[in-house]
Amino acid sequence: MRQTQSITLRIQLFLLTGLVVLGVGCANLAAIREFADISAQSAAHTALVTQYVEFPERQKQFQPSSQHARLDQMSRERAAQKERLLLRHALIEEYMDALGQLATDEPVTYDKDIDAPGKAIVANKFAGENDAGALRSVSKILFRASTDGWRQRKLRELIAESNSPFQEVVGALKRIVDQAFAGDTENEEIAIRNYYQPIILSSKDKAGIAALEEWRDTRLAEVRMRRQAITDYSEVLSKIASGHQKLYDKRDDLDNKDLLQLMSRYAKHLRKRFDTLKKL
Amino acid sequence: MKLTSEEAFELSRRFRELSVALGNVRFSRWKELSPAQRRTIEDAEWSLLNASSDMITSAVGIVLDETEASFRTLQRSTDKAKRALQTLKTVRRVINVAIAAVGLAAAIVSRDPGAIAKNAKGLFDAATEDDT
Repeated sequence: MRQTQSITLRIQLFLLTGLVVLGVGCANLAAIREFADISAQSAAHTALVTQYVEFPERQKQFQPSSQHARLDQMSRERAAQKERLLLRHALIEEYMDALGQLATDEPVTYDKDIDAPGKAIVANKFAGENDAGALRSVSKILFRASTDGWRQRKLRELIAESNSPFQEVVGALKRIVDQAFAGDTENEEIAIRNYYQPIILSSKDKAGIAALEEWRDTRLAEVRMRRQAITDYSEVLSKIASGHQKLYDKRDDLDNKDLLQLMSRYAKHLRKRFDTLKKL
Repeated sequence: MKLTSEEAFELSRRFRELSVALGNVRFSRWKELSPAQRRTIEDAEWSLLNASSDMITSAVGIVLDETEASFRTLQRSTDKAKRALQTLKTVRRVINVAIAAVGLAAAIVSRDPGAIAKNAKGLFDAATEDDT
């Protein structure tokens, strides 16, 4: 019994000494991981890029054939931009994924390797099986503490050096969404009106006019749904940028309780918005 | 003359507004206009609308060009972070840590506080060495 108590005391001393020497502690950054994960998922949403590239082709059904050559040219130009746009999405996704992994509080699964010292201790007769078991547990805790510290330092470095380009890249994508993709929907509404209105004005058949108006309204409703998706996605990008800015502002205090609560709220908001977006 | 993305977006809006204004005239005076006049206005409307869409395409290209440097910088930071994560997973590091931990364990068993501190530091160094 006394021997067990002695081992326990030695382990406590060992833990204290080790953690003091390491000068680090385990922090739970799960909220940052949560924010990063949903941001990465949202960045992978590229349906709007596809709609942008296919816009000229959709226009052909409303525009006279005299305009088709011009629309074909526009199609080629937009198709050439597609890869660059998708690369922006992919980069934001990869970046947030890396940030999330660095913020994780779960050690990479190498516990089996950390069992090696315990076995070595027994093999070298430094201690009995009981002591070795206790030391194995201690090694795991110390190892985790040290890697957590390393991760957090890397996380801080990543956030510090990336915030400026990150804000630029996300901001640029948001401008494209707000002005280009939204501009397309406005032009699409005008094209629909231009297509149906002359037929309606020239017709004397009331039932025919009613049917045409119904068709027109159905088409306009489709465009408005795309417009809603654009508005939602713009808000998603704003939240991602704003969340990253908060991380940057508090990069030296990442386990700050208020920051983690804020990140959790950002993650919830993003998930809600992104779920709505996926349904559109 | 080289446009900025903002100027291109602004031109896109102007062309759209002109197209809409022409459309409003054509539809509000439908009965007063001859078919040829309607056709002339309509052609101008489509032309302006497509000029608006062309400007959008140009603006997107300019935005992408304007932010290319930031894109590359972020790409480098992301690659660095991915390498850091890879580092964490490297078996070599784990082996170094294991070896250092053996020394630490031995020091604990020998009840030598000086050796404990020294070996704890060794374990920390092994776990945090940068091999990127």
